[in-house]
Amino acid sequence: MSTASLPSRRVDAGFEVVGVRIASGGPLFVVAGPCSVESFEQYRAAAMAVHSAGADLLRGGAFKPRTSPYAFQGLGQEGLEIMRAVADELSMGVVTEALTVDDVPAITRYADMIQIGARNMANRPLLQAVADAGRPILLKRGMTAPVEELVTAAESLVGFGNEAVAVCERGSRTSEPSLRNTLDITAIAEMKLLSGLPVVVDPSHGTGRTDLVQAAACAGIAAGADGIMVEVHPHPARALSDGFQSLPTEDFTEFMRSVRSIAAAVGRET
Amino acid sequence: MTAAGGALTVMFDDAARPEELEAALGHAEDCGLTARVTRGDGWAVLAVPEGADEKMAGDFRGAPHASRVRFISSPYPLASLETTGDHSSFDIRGTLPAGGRLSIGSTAPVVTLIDVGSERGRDESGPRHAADSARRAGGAVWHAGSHGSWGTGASGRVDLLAARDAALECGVALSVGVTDRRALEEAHSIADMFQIEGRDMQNFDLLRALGQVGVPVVLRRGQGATIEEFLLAAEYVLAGGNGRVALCEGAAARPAWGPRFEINALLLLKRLTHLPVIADVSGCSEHNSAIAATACAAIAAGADGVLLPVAGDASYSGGRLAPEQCRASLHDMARVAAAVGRVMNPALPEGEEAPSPPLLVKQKRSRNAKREEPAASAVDVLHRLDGTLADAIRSATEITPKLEVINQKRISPPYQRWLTWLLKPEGDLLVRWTSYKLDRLTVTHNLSYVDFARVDGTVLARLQAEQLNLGELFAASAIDKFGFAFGTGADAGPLDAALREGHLDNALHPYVWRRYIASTSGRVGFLVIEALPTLTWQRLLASVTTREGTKT
Repeated sequence: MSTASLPSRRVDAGFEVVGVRIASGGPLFVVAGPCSVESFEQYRAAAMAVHSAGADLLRGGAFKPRTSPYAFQGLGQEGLEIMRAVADELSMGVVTEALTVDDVPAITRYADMIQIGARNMANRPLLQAVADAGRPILLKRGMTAPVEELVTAAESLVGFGNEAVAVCERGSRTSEPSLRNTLDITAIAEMKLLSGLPVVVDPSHGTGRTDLVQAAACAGIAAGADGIMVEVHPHPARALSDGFQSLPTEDFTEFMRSVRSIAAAVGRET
Repeated sequence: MTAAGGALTVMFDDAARPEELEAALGHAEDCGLTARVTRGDGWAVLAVPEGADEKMAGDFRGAPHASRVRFISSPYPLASLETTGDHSSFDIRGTLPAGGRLSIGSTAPVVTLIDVGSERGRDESGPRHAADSARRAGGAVWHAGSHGSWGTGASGRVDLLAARDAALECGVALSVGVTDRRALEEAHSIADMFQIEGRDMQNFDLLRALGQVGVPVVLRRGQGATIEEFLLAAEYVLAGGNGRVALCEGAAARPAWGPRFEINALLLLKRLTHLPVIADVSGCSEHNSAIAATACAAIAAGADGVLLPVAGDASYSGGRLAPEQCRASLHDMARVAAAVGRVMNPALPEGEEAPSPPLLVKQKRSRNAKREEPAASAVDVLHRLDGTLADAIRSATEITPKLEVINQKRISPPYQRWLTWLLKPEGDLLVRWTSYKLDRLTVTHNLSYVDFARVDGTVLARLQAEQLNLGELFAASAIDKFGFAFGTGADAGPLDAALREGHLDNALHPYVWRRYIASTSGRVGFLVIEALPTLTWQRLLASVTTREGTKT
């Protein structure tokens, strides 16, 4: 009689981003920071808070894919410079999203890992450009993409010659009116099984509600996720984007304690 | 004083006597208002949905054993967490072993419920076998299936007395699904708990009837129902007086891109209602490891119970756990439960270890783990792989891949030189492109040539009728495989064009391949090429046990 094997049983070498090991079955890693870089002060406050609570990598958006054309679109080049300066001060790596092929050279200069967002999961020219840039890649699952399509998109990144790829579950569309997205917790295990790649859970987009973020992150780790990507803001109510799903910095220490206890329970290094 | 707006709710502690609750109801009615009382174990709640004022609230604050009085805006005042301030629990009445007590809720252990099924239908092996499977799987509750009074014969009905006896013998509580009033009456004195299917979530007649009984009810969310609609359905049962209601989330039919088990719904329910919440992870995935992982996640998210799908029949694979597999995965769930301050019911005996490596094990980093050239190492592993690809995939993932015949045709000479050189055909060849698939994910691209002149006619006929898989043929019979070659897409040469001719998708990213020719009784009759996408296989093959030497 065979026993079901969670794919986390398999450990592969993975890759490193500024000293942080990212591997399927490897140690838990946490990527945290605000949705958007809004100012040097805002970004530095968020980064200092997540750094002191034990986050491994910083996140932040300089180019933002906003649903409305009238919403804050990000600081662009200035945002990249702010992130780099703060990341260097803290000796941390930083992850940011590339929206277009044209953004890639600048982002490659300033960021340590490049995110391909949910809306661009199947954007082949962008996948090619990001793969060619040579930086590690965080590939998010499209909000209506089956798991197999995400795996195929990851395959194509590898096919373009870049194997430092992690995939991210960030929630699907839902008909529930009180939610922005619905986190596909089962997909985390399936993504590991079908791709063998490191899997990241994004509880911020996965729930769209600050009050659910911590529990969703814990569930993601229990389901086998290797890492977490979470939005943290010094003043969520004043955030220019995604304040409703951002953790306030003062809650982040408790967040880290909570996810680490689940990680320990499932036998992971933290 | 004017009405204060919203519903007035009064929470009573466990010392409240029925006549005191009656008196409270009577008081509201004397004021011309409608009130409802619901009772669980150790608690009771009264709600006046509309029209109550501050004076009435004051009267209730002074009532005996009233512990909490609130005006709340929730449309489901009896179910609302605002009303009680804390999560509730109730007892499941017991066909339990002596001394056993089974409760569900935040103060109780996480309850394991087991649904036993098989490909051949639920009742094939009999209730005794099913209840025993539930027990071996580590279940506290056995769900015996849905009992409806619309059918005749075995279909849609549970042999209630046999189920009762089986549950008693095996020491598990008995859950029965009911679909209408008549089924409810038949099962009323027999089942320990009722389960209401999602399609009956808004069967209001049934919900009213359930409100009149003292039997615990597990209410499932209907497909596409919102959380508010779900809680209002629970409110129907509560308003009838029955406070022993648990909500069950999961296993809805959803589009391919969305989750079939919605963890967010579980998270919302835990924040909106005091009622216990059960996570049904059956049907959430075809992959058993993903089902077990989802159950762990649900416990981390606060589930008070998990409903697990168990196979009652060894022939069943995919989507249902074998009883022993289920029991082994309970160890992982228990560890997660402990991390959130819970235990499991039933508790696994002290010292019982998972019979094989647990699902989630302490990872040890290999000091020597170095990144190698992917193609090179994949080729290397492939070179040492002795056996069929199907076996390799199964050993790596514990999933049996599905073979899909993409295309096949009969071709006649003249052939390309590389083909004649390898196969030396004298006449027509059968050429066949196939793929192994895990769900919809293509994990191999295969190409084979079969020589009509040199292969047994029966075998050939079955191959042509797509009844025979070459992998099975090679595994099963005395076939000699030789002429092995290995390589990457870059050095595939004419093989590359041949593969791409039939596998029209452009999914042939960097790949590695293995090629061999095979014979039956000394006559070379087959040429087989297997192409494997590098990323997938890099990882699959890393976990395949390989043996030196491939020549047979």
